[in-house]
Amino acid sequence: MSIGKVPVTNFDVIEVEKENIVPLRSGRSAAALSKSLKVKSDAGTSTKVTEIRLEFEKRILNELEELDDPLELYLDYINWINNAYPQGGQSKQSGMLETLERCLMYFKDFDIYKNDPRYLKMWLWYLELFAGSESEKQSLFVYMMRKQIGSKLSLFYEEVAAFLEKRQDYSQAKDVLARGIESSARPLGRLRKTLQKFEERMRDMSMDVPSVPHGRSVLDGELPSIVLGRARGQIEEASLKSDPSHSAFVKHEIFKDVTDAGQVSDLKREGWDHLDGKAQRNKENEASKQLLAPGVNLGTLRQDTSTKASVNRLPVFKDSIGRSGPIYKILEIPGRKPEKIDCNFDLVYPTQDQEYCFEELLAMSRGIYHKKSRTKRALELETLDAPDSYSGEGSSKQQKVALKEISPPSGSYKSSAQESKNPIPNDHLQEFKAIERTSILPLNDEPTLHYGPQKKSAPSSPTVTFFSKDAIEEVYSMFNQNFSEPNRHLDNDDTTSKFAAFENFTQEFTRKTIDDLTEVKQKTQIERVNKTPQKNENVQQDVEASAEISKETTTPSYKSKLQEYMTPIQERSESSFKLASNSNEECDNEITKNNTITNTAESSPFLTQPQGLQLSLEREPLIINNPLSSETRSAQISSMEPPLSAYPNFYHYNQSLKMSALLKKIHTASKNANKNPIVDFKKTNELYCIRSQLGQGGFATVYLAESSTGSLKALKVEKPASIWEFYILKQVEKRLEGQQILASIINVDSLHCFEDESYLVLNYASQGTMLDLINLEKERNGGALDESLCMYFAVELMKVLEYIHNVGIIHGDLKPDNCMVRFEENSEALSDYDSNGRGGWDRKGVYLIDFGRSFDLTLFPSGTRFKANWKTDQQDCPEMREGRTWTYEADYYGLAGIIHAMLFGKFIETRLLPNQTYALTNSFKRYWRQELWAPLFNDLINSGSSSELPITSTIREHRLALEASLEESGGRLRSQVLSLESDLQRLRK
Amino acid sequence: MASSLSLKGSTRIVTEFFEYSINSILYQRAIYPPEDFVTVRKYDLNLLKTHDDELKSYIRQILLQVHRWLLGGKCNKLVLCIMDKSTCEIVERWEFDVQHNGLENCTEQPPKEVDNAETQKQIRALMRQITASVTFLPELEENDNYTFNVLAYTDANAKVPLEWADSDSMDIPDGEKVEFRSFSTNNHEIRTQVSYKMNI
Repeated sequence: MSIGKVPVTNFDVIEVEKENIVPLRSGRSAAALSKSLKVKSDAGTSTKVTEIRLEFEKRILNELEELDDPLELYLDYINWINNAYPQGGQSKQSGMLETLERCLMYFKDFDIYKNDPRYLKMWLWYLELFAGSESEKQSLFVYMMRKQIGSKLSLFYEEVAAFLEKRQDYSQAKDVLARGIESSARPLGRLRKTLQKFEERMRDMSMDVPSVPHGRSVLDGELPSIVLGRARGQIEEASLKSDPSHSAFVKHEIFKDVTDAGQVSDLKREGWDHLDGKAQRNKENEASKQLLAPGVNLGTLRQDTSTKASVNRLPVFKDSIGRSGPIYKILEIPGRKPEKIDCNFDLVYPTQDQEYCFEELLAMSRGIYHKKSRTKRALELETLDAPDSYSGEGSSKQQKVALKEISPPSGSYKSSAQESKNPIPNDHLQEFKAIERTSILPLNDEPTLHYGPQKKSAPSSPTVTFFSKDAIEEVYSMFNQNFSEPNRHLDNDDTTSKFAAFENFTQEFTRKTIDDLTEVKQKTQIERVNKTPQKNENVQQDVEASAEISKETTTPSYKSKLQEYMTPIQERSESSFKLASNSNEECDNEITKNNTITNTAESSPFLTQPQGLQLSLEREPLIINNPLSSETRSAQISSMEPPLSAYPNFYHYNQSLKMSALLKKIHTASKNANKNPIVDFKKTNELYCIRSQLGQGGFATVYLAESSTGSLKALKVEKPASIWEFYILKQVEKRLEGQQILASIINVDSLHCFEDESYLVLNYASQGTMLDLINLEKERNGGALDESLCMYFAVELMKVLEYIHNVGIIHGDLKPDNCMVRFEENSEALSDYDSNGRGGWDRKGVYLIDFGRSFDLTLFPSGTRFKANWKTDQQDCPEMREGRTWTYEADYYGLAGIIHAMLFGKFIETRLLPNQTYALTNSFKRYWRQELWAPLFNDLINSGSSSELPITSTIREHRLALEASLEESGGRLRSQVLSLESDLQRLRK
Repeated sequence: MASSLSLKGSTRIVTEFFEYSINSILYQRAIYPPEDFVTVRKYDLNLLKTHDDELKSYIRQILLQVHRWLLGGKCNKLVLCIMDKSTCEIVERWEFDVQHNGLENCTEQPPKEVDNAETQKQIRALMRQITASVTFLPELEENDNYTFNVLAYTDANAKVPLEWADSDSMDIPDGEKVEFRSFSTNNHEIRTQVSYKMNI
């Protein structure tokens, strides 16, 4: 075969270097390539390359003038460079630039080569490699035109036209082609065809190409101003003078930055003669490099200049007041973190016993302080009424300073305590009196009235006074009732807690104080109520106004719905009282601590009075520290009306079964042995044959069990026995009776409660949890769920949440593993998505399972919040993690967690933004419906900061948006669901 | 060995490889505009496959026949020629040599057992090389004056459908030749080679 003759190159040699090979338009010889690569890999062969290069150079030096075709030598040389340096001609070591330029310059005046296609190609090659900018390219083209290089070759015109067309300079491109034809470039036929094609293209783009007026062509030597930056007249002038020294017309030169080429060159009428090398042309753009030479200690020089540079750096602007930097003072308070206060204490306290406020300081700095105050001080000493003029206020403070000097701090404090309207709350009677007085006061209508006496009170420590005195007094004068609190702390000299009080106050005053004020108005009533304890909850809870308003109106709306089947309020109030005292005993320490330190705002004297202990506990939002504790629950359950034992399908055995350990053992021992244990429930005469273990939680294990009738059930075995989940599920069932949404909550069959264990019989959802689904999808497609599926499940979950929140149930443990896929069999074919559940969509959805951590809010007084005492992780809401209190937030965050897991295929992660809100750590994919997801996540994650919980209406809005989006693209979801369904089917087998 | 392949499976791998390599070459060499191709995941690589129906059915038709020949052990070489439309000059010639190892009639050597995963790895390497070949292959100008031909070298006794015509070997005189990696299945060994012409 003829093929055998040619040496075959193995690609393996080339492949390792493929990234280092620059493709050439004309291709590379693989043989040469592999050779040069081999050479390259051999050590010490760089000398060989230089040898060949030297050889070429020598030949150029010696033979060039003698050769018939000197261009050939250069072509060889350049070809060799191309092969020897596969990294491309642009690389420095190839020396391509210099060689090419030498070649181009050498031949530019040879008439025989001007229209040599090889020479033109070299030019184009040069342009391709080294013409960085378009303007550079253009000027090079102009240069070629002027030198008549390639002016008889079609290739030149085609290249220029292609260049111009790329710049969308269509008319110029057309003009160039026309010019080529005009000058009958070779091959003319091809050029004509090119022009024809160009015109076709223009027609396709329906582009009207205006013809270029004569003499306006880019290539036109008649218009050098584009290229040369010199007016035509000047060029002519210059050429007339034919003075080669450019200095003669330098001053006439109008610089235009289009051109960086050829300024220095001598001008002739037909164009500029000399083209500087690339390096020369670009020399302004290059930092001059200095080579390191041995013996020259450049190191120290470097050092010197660099430091100089740093000295000469632009100074940061400083205003001219003359201060050197921000002045601050660090307050060291034993037992706390040092506090940094950003102001100049030396100015505020020029001496030990002097103090100026900022306005005074400002006045001093303007030079108007002393004059005026001096005149007014005399007046001030006589009239205690504080004048309201600006300078007057300043002087009043001066006066206060004077007073301070007279009275020792403790004494002055005492007096202020007596004068202030809130004495220390030891005596209730006195306390009530005090409240009465303060509460009558309007919200700081006449601040000066209070200021007078209060300002006299000297602070126990001057540093603290600076920060808090005015500010706190002002705030407290608005909410007088609480003022006693800081006073008391002042008494103990506990400055820190005073600050704490202040901080707390500003956070919470909006609501609290209003409550407090109203409370005080009902003072007499409360006293009366205390004698009749049966009703007192009414009063406690009723923060709004009168005691007559029934509780139902103030509690969240769900209660009204529940009225028919809820336990009567009076009865419940007793139970919750019990509960309250229970929890109080449990966390008594905690609460009292709260009262004294963190919650000082809430522990107003009124609230801490011993007589009103129960009252106070009810008054502030109840915080339950371990909401899952069995005490709490048993208390709730035992007080339930009707009692749990009255529920159908609740079977209580006064014996222990001791079965769960056995079950566990069997299942760990032999998973597929046929010795399946059988659980026998005597009361219902039911036998359950345990098939396999479905899942395991902290306290419970879920087994797949087959009943004697052959139906499959999930058996949740809990040890110790727990009836809570059964209660919740039954409540949910009852409260949502007859509603479609019940399909989305796992259906409870019965509970068999033994003394040691409990067996909750649940419907078996065979299609796995959401977590299984996500993992399945990961295996299937290597990614997360399809967005439309995520939307669909999100919608379903939001629906369920809306409903259960409406009836006062919090799931409390929402996560992907507690949510199961519900794709029921369908007789009819599934239609496109329908938000109303038509077309078989009501049979697709989710089940919520595991209500073991759930709460029935109707068992708690409204406003109750919980605190987690279990170990938390990223899947728990931030409130839980940070030890704050929560209610619905848990579910919202849990929902966000599920959606996140579906969407991203990973568990949710959030980060705290500087503005104290949370955001997802992962960012959405570009093609997702971010406008839907982002606000949804934002609301779910940051539900804690919303003004009112539950945010059911917000959730509904999001849900409707998602549904609308799903209905838009209903077909996609349908196909997703169908394919998923079949996959799940397969998974089950 | 469970992962070894039967002749049928092996042939399918080879045909599939032909399909993807032809598509790849057509894309890499810009015989068809890039917008005619879509990315698909194959051999753990992102490969491009045409979605132009005409071209698809053309390639399909070729490969169906090649598949038949391969099954019968009748085809020992497949050649993809890239041809200048205007001058009818062959500019590139991609050659896929097929060696039948495991056929009953040539039992001198026991068939090698080749792991399927190994085959996939080899194909992957080969595909990478085809992609990388643009480093030395000359640029074919874009103005679609190139087309391609597929030649199949078959046994003399093979049945040839009417659509296939006899042809010469369409060699490139004095072309550069580059040998690619080879891959082998249980029954076949494929060697790939490209010859091309520098257009200086």
